[in-house]
Amino acid sequence: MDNVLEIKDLRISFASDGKRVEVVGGISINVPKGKIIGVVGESGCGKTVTALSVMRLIPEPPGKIDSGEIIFDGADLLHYSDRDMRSIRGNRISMIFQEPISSLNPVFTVGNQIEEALSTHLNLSKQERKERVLELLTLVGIPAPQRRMHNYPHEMSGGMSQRVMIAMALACNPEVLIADEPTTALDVTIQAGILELINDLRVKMGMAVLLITHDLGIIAEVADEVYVMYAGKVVEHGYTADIFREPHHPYTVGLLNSVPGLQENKEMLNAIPGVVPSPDNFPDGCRFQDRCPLVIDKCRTDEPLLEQVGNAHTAACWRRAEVKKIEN
Amino acid sequence: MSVKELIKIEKLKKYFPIKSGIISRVSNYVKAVDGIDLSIPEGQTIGLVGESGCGKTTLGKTILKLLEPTSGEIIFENNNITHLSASKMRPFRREMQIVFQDPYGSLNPRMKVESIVSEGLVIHNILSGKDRKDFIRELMRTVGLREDALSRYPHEFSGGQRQRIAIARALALKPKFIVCDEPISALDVSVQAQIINLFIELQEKFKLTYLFISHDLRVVRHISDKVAVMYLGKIVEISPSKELYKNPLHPYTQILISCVPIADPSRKRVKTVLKGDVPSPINPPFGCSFHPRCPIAVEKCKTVEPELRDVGSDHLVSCHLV
Ligand SMILES: Nc1ncnc2c1ncn2[C@@H]1O[C@H](COP(=O)(O)OP(=O)(O)OP(=O)(O)O)[C@@H](O)[C@H]1O
Ligand SMILES: Nc1ncnc2c1ncn2[C@@H]1O[C@H](COP(=O)(O)OP(=O)(O)OP(=O)(O)O)[C@@H](O)[C@H]1O
Ligand code: SF4
Ligand code: SF4
Ligand SMILES: [Mg+2]
Ligand SMILES: [Mg+2]
Repeated sequence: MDNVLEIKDLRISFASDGKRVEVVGGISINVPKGKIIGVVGESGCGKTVTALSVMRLIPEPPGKIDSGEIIFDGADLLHYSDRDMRSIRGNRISMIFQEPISSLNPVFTVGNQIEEALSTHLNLSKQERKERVLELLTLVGIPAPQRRMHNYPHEMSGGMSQRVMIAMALACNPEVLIADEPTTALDVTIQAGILELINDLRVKMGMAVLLITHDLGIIAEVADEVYVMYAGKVVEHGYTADIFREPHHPYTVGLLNSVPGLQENKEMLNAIPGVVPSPDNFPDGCRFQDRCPLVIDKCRTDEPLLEQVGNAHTAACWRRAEVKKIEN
Repeated sequence: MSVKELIKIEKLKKYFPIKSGIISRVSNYVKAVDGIDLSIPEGQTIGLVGESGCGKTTLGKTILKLLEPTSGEIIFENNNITHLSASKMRPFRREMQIVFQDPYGSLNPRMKVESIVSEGLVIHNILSGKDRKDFIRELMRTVGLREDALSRYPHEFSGGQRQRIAIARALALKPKFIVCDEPISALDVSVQAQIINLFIELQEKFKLTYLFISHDLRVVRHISDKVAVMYLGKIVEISPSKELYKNPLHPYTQILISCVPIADPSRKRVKTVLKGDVPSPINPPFGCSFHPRCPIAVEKCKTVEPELRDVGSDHLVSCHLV
């Protein structure tokens, strides 16, 4: 077993109107060395909050990690002191945040910002830092890095700022990279370049990647395994090829059917009806019940747990054996 | 086959002046839309794709005269509306609407949904009292919202629901033409599918004509009869969608299609990663404006601009090597 990161039964809640609302309800995710692990799910299902908890960046209050473990290098990150955590964050585990531009500091040049990341964690001379900055900017495919390192964030396009963010995240050769929707805001052409880059780096540096996205196309292309989340829970997990070939949860089936492909002509897509329940109003039993074509009475009272459905493939659905019958 | 053209634009240009110096002299122009011909038949959808900054939004807004065109003509149902004054434009305003990308920013947070949706009716003095109320209720059902949504505020809704509100607002004046500017880019995949279906349904029901802007070729393919690919203010390829995806001819279109992520792990594709950054629309490259990034450019491309030519099957492309 060579997981670099293990999230175990994590629960996270937020204070809202005087009560606590649980937004992540006991999820477990394993990230093996050198693999890309995809996390997909509807907006608000808890993807970012989960990622932030690994970085110990949940705003407390109103947020709180209620229980669970985050095992990195044999120890539970949740028990680290703030000081110890600072030596890990941005160094051995780093993160690309969902909004690139707003995460860069507008008053420093991009070169300065990468240098700053380097000097916090590594003991390098000024000359060595300069060289590393150039090396990183070249690595992420910024043209004319000598000149570009003196640019301010607003002087760069969205795609370039995102590359700078990646360069910063990679500055210290992290063992784990958490990428939260790293390409959602970008054009397909730039997106393709960035995904190729992330893939290259894991091959070259043996880095593991936790890749959060709602684009199943991206998952299909780069992820080794997928976790499908719905309303604060993992509802299905398996190897990417297995999940796409034989999904065992009705939500996964719905997601796969609603992706437009390049083949079809003008016609209706198979949308999942209805909307996600809000965290302060989760129903008893299965949280997908109101949108599920296979719902039975039991689903409204008893919560389905993740059960084995194949080789390293689990799904949380009472009717997991019958999911194949859903028409598409 | 005689299809009526609802919108026809000819040699349309929109340049934004760049001012500099203490007396704010115009020193140069951003050539956001640089000579576009396009016609949209009634009841059909033209998809418009291209990289960020290539001029898609500017084109959409200029057609609606939300931006004053720099030159060229805009014909709406055989009326030349290019130079109409604001008051003469008013009856046409009703017929042409726009739905924006951001379902969060485009609705006034201090107005109830009822006021948002009926605002246009009030401005144009259409229906009143009970008739207006009934019509608005009916509209809510059409876009898949419950009537009780009318008495709530935008922040009480999810992104997909807000986009439905924006669509209801656009539909209230029974327009013939709607510019959909990335109307689903900010939404979840499953919600995207719901909204695309809604657009298709409404089109069939009301014979709507759409200009559908997106940078996601998968979505555009789904909803469009014809797709236009834009690069630096110009259309570089346009054809019926089926033909375009089967037989893309312009090197830029080919690259765009090769980059689309496909939700099928068993299909390993060869992607062409586009080199270099989008060039500036202020000083676009000479010759073919795509030449600095084009993998097959030849000498001629640096000096001679290719024209958009018909290569058969209603397929137009501008490239010297096609
Ligand atoms: N600072 C906060 N205060 C209160 N609630 C929060 C806060 N941050 C997140 N939440 C809630 O936690 C839940 C999970 O949010 P999260 O940002 O993790 O979703 P997500 O899966 O990343 O969605 P998206 O795809 O839209 O980024 C949501 O219901 C959200 O409203
Ligand atoms: N009001 C304005 N003043 C000056 N320049 C403008 C203005 N509006 C747009 N531009 C410029 O015109 C060009 C085209 O912009 P436009 O918003 O039409 O692009 P777009 O294709 O819609 O991009 P995106 O996909 O990012 O929405 C860009 O270079 C932009 O900076
Ligand atoms: S448990 Fe029941 S409601 Fe939930 S996904 Fe399975 S069949 Fe549907
Ligand atoms: S004209 Fe030349 S540069 Fe332009 S797309 Fe064709 S081959 Fe490429
Ligand atoms: Mg998120
Ligand atoms: Mg735009």
